[in-house]
Amino acid sequence: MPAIDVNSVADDILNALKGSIGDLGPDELAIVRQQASDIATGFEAVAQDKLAGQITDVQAENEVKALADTGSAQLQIQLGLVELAAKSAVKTGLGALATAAATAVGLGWAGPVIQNVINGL
Amino acid sequence: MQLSSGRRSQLSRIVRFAAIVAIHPMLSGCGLLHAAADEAGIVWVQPPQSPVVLAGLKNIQTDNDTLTTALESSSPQCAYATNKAAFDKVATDISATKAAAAKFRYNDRTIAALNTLGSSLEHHRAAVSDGGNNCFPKNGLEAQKKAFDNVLTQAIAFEQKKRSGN
Repeated sequence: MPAIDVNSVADDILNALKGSIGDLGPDELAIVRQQASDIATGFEAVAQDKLAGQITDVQAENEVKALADTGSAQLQIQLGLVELAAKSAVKTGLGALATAAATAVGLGWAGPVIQNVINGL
Repeated sequence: MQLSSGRRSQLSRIVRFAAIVAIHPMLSGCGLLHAAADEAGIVWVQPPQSPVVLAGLKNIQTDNDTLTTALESSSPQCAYATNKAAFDKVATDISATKAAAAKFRYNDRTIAALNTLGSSLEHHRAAVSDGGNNCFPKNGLEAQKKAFDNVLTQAIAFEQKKRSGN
């Protein structure tokens, strides 16, 4: 059983990213949509491992950091965003993810973990 | 001072370009900027395609695949201690590719993405090493590999789009 509704969370992240990046053409929007989906899917994998007791909070935090970095790298290489702008966009996306996790069953650990990642970006 | 209509027209296109730059402070390489630069007669400086950078990006991908396969094997082959050298190899690939990219001016986009990819690798390393001799779960390994591959695939495509000249 999935820990989160990946599609719904991806929509939340997409809206947050769009708000952070600003005007986007159709091609750019497709790139950002893919990023939102990748972050949600990646987090879902981390959440499954955590729920199964296979990783600790610290390991989960490092994995979310790794995902945040690859998300930023994608925005840098595909949209040409500078580092600060890419990280700022990913931060807003993670904020949406934290909000979604806060209401999901079994993800009480995720809010502080994601907040730590946001604070470190 | 009187400007000819041609000069006035070029001036207005340059002003339009400046306005687009001003309203897109976060974008350094989007199509809108390129189009406006072309219209204004501004030569858009782009670094040339580099076979060394391309080969470096492909090396990163290959060595990261090898690392992931090793981490997915059973204990004790999956342990961090056994795979530290493989992590180091991917980190070295990233540094070498970044150095190759830095030999060209205006290669900021590729260098920035490689920097962030290096940071991602180190966070992944921290997560795996924290597990000691335990195998890291496959869900996390596959998610990280997919995210890593996506960046590299895009970086390779971006490099291939550059004009050849080296």
